Amino acid sequence: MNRVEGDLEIKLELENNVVTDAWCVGTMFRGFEQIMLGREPNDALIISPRICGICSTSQLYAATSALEVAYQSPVAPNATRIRNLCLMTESVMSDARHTFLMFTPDFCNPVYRGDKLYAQMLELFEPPFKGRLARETIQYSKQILGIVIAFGGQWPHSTYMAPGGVTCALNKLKLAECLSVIESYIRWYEQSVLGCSSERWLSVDTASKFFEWLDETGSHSKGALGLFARFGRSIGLHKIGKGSANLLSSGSYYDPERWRPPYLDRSCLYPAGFYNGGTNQVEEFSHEHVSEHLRYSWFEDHGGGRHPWQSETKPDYRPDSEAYSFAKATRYKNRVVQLGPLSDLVIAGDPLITSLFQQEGSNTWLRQFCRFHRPVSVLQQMRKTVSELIRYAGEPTFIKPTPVLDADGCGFINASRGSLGHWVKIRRGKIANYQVITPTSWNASPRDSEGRRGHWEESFIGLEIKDPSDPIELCHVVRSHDACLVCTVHFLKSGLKRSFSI
Amino acid sequence: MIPSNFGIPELDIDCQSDFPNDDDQLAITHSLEPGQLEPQATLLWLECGSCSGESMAILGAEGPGKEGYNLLDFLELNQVKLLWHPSLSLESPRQLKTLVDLILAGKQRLTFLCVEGSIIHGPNGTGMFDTFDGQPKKDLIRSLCEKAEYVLAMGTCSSFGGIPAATPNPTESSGLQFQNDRHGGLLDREWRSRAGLPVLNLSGCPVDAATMIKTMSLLLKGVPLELDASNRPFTVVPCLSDSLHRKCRTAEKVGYSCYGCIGARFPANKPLFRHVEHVDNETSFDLTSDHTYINCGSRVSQFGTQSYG
Repeated sequence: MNRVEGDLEIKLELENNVVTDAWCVGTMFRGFEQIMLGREPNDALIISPRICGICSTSQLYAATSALEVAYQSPVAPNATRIRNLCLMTESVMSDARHTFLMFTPDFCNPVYRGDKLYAQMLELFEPPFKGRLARETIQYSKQILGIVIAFGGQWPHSTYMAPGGVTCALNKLKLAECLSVIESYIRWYEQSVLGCSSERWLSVDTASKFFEWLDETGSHSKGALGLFARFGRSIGLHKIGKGSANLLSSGSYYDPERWRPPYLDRSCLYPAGFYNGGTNQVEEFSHEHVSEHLRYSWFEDHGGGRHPWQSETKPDYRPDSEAYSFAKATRYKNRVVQLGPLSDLVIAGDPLITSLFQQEGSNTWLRQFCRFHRPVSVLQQMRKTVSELIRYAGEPTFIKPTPVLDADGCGFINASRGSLGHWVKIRRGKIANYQVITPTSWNASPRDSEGRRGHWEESFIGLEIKDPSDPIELCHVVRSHDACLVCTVHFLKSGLKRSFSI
Repeated sequence: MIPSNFGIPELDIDCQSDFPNDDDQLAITHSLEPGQLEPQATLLWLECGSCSGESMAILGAEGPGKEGYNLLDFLELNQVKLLWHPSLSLESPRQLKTLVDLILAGKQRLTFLCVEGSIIHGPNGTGMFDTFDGQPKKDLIRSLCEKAEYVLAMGTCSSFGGIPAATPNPTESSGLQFQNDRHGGLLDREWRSRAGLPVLNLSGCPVDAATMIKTMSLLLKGVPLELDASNRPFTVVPCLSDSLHRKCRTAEKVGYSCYGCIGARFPANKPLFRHVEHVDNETSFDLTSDHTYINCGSRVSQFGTQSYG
């Protein structure tokens, strides 16, 4: 057992090379929630994007949304369109960067040298930046981020949203340029990643159709997706890393026309919900069921679970206690849950992902497969959103809000890694409490008050590690969770790459 | 209603740019011969209290139409060997540990030590809020600094402390050689790297890729870097500056200093985010007009539509 660089340590207990117990240790505290206290509510718009340089759009959006809910002030439909467009951009960028710069480079590990697909793995994925896909990903993900830059002026850490709308200009020239960037990305994605047209891909809507598609032509089986799918399954990724059977999503991309006070109708392009792994039913999502447990965390423990509005973040570093992490244990309906693209797509009823999920359940391969699949429909949606913006270009992008001196608000945004929530309490016009729960803080949570392991911890149990000095199986499972530890406000960050050992 | 947020802001005493005039700048020439740096310069990138914003920026997020200025191109073009980067390297932690030991033993050359994120000293000065190998990360950084030819603080956090060091500074964060606008931090004022330079503060939130890469390229070529009073090389320019106005003009307009460039001065009693509303059209925020907001570190967009007039 041992130690790491990075801000997450995974401690494992092995018996005959099989993992029998696991602890996720957040080794860093960043204190953002305390920095918010006593400040102007709008300061959250400046401070919170700095929580994470990878999903700063989501942080900004969640902070803005929390204030809008608190003030009960309407948001201009065009602003929701622009926000959605930028959030979709970040999602598409993040899916590609995570997949081709983080996940697939592990397929080039020398342990797979003897595999018949190994030469192709090197050609496409060899790190650092040598593989064709890695290079193309840098080029195209950079290009598509131009959309966020067009509206936000910079990326990361743009500050162009404010309660009521967005602060940036909307003009048709800008939109036309966005459209050409989207078209160019779609062309790259079809040629290099899918090996077929988006329409053809979207007609693949069941597990069996997918396996037929895979064998249909060389362009399918030898594209990046095809190679990932075949190689990933040949090394058994579809059989490992199950984790929690419960899925949670707060929904993605608000309907511009329906997202307005009192903000109770959460109409989203990808609907919100809680997939109960016990009953296999999707239940309604409500933030009231969220609670934070601090028994195993280095924070002052209030005992049991508390809703974020009641929760506090007071560090209490006790190296010799049962506490072991700077992450909190977040639970939904008192259950351990997993968040991310798999949860978002299953709860939204995506036909292909639901079919694969029903057949094989949650697993490492499927979690990563979702990051290949999701951008296809998101890109179509981006195209549609730009067309809508062109159509409504004359409409306002901002409705001046009337701030309220005493109010509570909460904002939920689906970041590329899953649902992100901000909870704010405003008293006398200042922030009196601020809590941020990131997707990674759900997934990589330590044990809760009842001693139940978090989703990641659970996903390692039973994993067979052939060579503990090079735990490649563990790498695959961890990466499929897409740690954005930068994002775990309490207060971990990335650097997970190779940042565990046994 | 909070008038301070939405009214026209009063001018603030802080409103002048903190960028000193040219005559304040001191030129520091470094002592290494340029020839010594070729051909195998190396780069080690470590993150402390960071959001990975600079890592993301250097991966290339300048937007369409701008070629170059990403880490990959820089490494290739200058034949610099990447020793380790938290999100890009394949080496295992054990190998990283070995690498660090080699550097510390003087057996591995370290040309560029790039540090991203604030240096965390908490709780109570122990540094245990951010650890490496069970030890405070700040101690590791401290000892690596002694071995590096150049130490670069990538971004406002590692330069001055940044947002993590904002009141009440719960993590006891500082920059590498500054604590906000004062000397100090992890290293004292007189500290110099092996090339005879203080920590180069590439501030910005995030600092953009072009600034990071230009600075390193100039160092490799042996071009002397002028530093200002805050140890920022001349490659660091405030947002929206030009050859005539070496100042962040956003700051003038909103009457508030741009913190991305000056570091963590986060008075808890003043709003960070303000609007200047256009009299004619209250509901529109058109950046080509007088509407403005603090958006530090931003560059005029490559689409060319954003300017603060």
